[in-house]
Amino acid sequence: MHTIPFEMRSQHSLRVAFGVVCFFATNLCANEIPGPNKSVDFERHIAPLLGRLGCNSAACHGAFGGGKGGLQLSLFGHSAKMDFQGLKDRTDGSDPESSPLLLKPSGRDQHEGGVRFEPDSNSYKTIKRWIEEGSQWNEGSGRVKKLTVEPSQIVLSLSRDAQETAVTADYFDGSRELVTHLCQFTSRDEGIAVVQPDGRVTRSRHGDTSIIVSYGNAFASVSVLAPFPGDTIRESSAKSAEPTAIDLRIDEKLALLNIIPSGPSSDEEFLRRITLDTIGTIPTLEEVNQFCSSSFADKREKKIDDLLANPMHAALWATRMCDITKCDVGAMGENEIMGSRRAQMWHDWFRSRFEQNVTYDEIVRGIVTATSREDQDVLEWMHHEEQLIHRSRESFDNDYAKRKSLDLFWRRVFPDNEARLKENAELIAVAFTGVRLNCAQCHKHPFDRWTQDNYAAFANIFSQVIYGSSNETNSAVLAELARRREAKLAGKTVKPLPRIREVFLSSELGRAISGSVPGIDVSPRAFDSAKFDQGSDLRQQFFDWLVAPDNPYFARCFVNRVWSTYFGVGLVDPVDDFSFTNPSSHPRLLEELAQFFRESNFDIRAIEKRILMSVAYQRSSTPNESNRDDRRNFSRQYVRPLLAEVAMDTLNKVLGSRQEFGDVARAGALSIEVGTNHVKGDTGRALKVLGRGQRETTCDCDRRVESDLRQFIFLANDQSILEKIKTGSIRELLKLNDRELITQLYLKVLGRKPADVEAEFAIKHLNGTELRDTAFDDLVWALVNSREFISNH
Amino acid sequence: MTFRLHDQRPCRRHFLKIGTIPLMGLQLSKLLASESSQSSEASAKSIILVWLDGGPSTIDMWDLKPDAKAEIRGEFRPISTAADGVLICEHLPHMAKQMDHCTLIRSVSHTIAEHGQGAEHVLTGNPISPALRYPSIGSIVSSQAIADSSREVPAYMDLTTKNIGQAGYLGSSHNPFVVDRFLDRSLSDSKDEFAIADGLSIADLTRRRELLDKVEQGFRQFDKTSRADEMSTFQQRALDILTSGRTRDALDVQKESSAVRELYGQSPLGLSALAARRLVQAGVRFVTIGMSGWDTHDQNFSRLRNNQLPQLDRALAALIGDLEAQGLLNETIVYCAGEFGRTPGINGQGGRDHWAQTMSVLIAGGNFKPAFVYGSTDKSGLYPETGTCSPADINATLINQIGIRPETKLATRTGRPMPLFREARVLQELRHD
Repeated sequence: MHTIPFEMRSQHSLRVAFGVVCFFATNLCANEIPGPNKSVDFERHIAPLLGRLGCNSAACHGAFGGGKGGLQLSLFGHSAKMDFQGLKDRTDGSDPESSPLLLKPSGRDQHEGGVRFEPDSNSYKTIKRWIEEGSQWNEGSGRVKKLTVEPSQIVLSLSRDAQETAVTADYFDGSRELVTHLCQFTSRDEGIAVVQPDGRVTRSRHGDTSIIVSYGNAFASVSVLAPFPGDTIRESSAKSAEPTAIDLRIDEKLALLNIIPSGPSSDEEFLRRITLDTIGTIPTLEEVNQFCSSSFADKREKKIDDLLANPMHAALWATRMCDITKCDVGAMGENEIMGSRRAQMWHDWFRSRFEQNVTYDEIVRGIVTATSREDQDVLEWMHHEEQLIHRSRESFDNDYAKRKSLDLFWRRVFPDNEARLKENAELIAVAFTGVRLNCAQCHKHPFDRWTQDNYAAFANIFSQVIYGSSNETNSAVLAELARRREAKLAGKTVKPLPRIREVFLSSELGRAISGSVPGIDVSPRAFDSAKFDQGSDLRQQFFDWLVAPDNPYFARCFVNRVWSTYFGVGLVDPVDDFSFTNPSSHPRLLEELAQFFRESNFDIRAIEKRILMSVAYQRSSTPNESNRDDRRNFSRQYVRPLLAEVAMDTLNKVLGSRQEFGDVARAGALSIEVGTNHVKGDTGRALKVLGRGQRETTCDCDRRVESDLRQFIFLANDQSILEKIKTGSIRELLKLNDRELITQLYLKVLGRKPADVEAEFAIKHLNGTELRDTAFDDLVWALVNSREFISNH
Repeated sequence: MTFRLHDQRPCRRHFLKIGTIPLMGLQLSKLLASESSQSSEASAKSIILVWLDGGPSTIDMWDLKPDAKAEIRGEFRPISTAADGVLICEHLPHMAKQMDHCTLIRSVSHTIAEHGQGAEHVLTGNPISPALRYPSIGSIVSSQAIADSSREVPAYMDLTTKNIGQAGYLGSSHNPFVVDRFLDRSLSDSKDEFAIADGLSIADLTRRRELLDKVEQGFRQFDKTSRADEMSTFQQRALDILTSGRTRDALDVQKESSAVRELYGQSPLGLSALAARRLVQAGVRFVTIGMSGWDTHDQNFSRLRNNQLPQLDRALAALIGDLEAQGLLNETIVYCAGEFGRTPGINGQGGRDHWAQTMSVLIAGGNFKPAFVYGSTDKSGLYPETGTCSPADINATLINQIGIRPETKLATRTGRPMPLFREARVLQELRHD
């Protein structure tokens, strides 16, 4: 952000555009001011009005663009001090009603921002009383411990289509007040419910959404359920499994919404879905036949156990973790070959952990507290490091995965120390807590409570980490160089020592970044945690905070990612946006899953199994009348695009072809086994078209999760696909008779037998005017171009 | 006279009411169908956006301040143009000859002086929101173009690599189709995905498509769920585009005479401008082209003089002149803008910093009033003096010109009806009577 030259600030005239952001403001019909025996409090009653009236947005007086008319308020109200100073100067204690603070916004004096309230409004009266009482500021009086909305859930039916709400603030001093009239209300989806400035919520249409309430810097949300109208008749169809604790929560909400869930999936449907979801491919012909013909009652549970233990399950997780931790060759400061080797080590490190079902907290410990030397002696480590460098120049095989920690995460290179601190902080926040700190880098987060100072304090947790050479290593390297020189002089052949750099902790201070104003305390802490002790390892303290039983982010963030993997949408969605303004669709379920995860000591397969065993996961994707519009209540499984790597591997598997990765991956690797994000040639292009991300931005939005036009042009017309159809081992099916061929083809590509009508037209086509070979090509092409093939459902 | 914007707008209370009318049981699809009907006023068909990424110093391009003090005036002098009384920068000589086809708006103003959010604001006409992402103007055009435009070309294409102009709540079907081979030379030999692959014929594709249609029967049960619907749209459109070959043809600028190619020049912007003209000719409704390097915090003047302005001048003037020569200028709007302007005050590095309070944008063709300047800034170029308008006003004016009513409501993917803009006014003064 570039600041505006001072000269220009002082010239701020009134002739400026009426900014759009002002329209967040509401016309006031406040119905309450503090009773006659209670005084007006600046933090409790005046400052929140600035937000409600829109005064502190960047377009108006929020100090980002300069503060119009000379009045500077803190952007989105992060500083009571700044706001008080701004307002105090605009009061006239001797004649309160001539205060500019009242004259301008009430339209009695020219105000570029227009009329914000009328002289007979309660906003006006409240501000007037505050001036009359001497325009005092009692620092800290408005700190809110808890903001509560009543009722806690709103159900709006056709007959009862409106609901009043009341908001109460509990302050740190133990007092509480009704603050409805000082709050801002926003509906997350006005197509479902609309909220008035006084907090009254009205129904628009069936569905569910939430209302976001903000009072100064405090936020709360309340969920709104508008049931599907009309009588819905529950099907009496057989249940596929016993409802689990998960289903209890899902079903209770579905009942409130009057949505009938879809029935259980068929074995074929279930098997294809879960195989794609867990090991990134579709089941083979034999697997389909075997599973469907098995009559064991627990065959689904058995299948789940097998799949979770499959090596490809770990590979798929490693690919996801490489996305989440931004394994980017472009940031490794190495050439493409060495970069791809390092990316593969990164992938291998995760893969071996998921293979052994290492607990999630241990995996994260290995990332956030990583050092290069770990607890090795410096000489021992140096030799090991040298070997690793030599080995990785030659091949993809080395013992990096055996290391305790992923020091590569901290070896990413940045333009400068500040960028390093910030990027690492933003990435760690979003990866392991699901909180997006990015906005707070420059200003208070407008839709959450995080400020620039929270940002700086969070970044400073990582201020002890250095990637370079410690004194100890320097001495060891110098000694080693001397030793080799001597050896060389003595006529021995010695290898040159490669450049040795390491990730280590420094006790030096002074690398920290500063906060919003000089001198403000931004010593290391995580969000609203206690301050960390700068005398000891800050990352360790951060890790301890993360995995503590009362940490509200860590377990939730991960179980939500797991959930999103298996349903295509998170309980909090997007998964990297945990904030007050993005509440969960099923808060209780999310907490229960997090609880289970913590109690299982962060056992990843256990939480996966729990989710996969639910009736909700095993539902059919076929919609019914009542759940057709459902996108977040899991009343059916949703049609969702495949991960790019999975789409590519699956294409190769059904066509019986291979993918060439050149020299940036192990020979014969599947896409989900590849670490590097820099893949050249046809393969790289195909992965990009299928939606693989660049891993360059700190955001899960990096990967395209929706399908697009280009993908279908690719599938229909790309030379590589057409060649695979022509040459792949799928052609062996041509040896079979027509009916057998079609059955096997459907089983192979779509994981199911063809319906009679499908078999009929396919056989007819096979015997049509084209050569049987060509007709076969057509059929294969049509199947891999179908939506059924290229999505999970 | 001071122009007071809010005096001319419906008051906020009125606006709120409009925004919150409940649907009262109206079938959503019907409502949207009636809303999306095109207005009868369409004066143009397509838009070419020339995006100057980084925030162009429009005070040095379209709105010079020769009488201001040196710290503001800068190094460039104004020259007269084919439009009487309209002066622009001396380093835009080709554009000077085309100004009789252009409309300059010198009073666009907003408040977001940050690249990403500023660009989103200018391209969508809406401020960023926690609840949803607004669609860019190109996506709006795309969403309204489905019915009437050719299915044989993408409705919305982007020849830059900036990943701007996304569809937001409209869903990925209205994201632009990005073709990067013009801006990234390393991609110039890469595969032409619009060309029918070797060994495949149109007859093959047609036959296979019939077969695909049968294979898809079983999946039709999902058609009314939004993702499956979108996929179906892509699938159909992909095959339409491939079999027609029009997109491929249009992107092949080598098909132009050497005289025409010479006019545009070999710069990335020149090549993409020529491709853009061919694309709108083929039926594409919105094409984004652009050029980066406008974030001139230092050496503003030498960078503009040596690189930015010569390239822009030649390509933009060629585009306007060529559209005119082809008889396409009346039905094509050329819109040249960036995310914000730059500070009138020159900083210590000889650069200008971000300044959103005012900037100029240029519009050519599309039956707007030619040789016309709308709005003005004060003598130091800090603030608009007359005709203050917002990005939403500009966007509303542009889409209105191609027959989309600015008060149209679009549906989000959950069926929530959204007005295109929170607030916008069509600049009637720009219309050519």
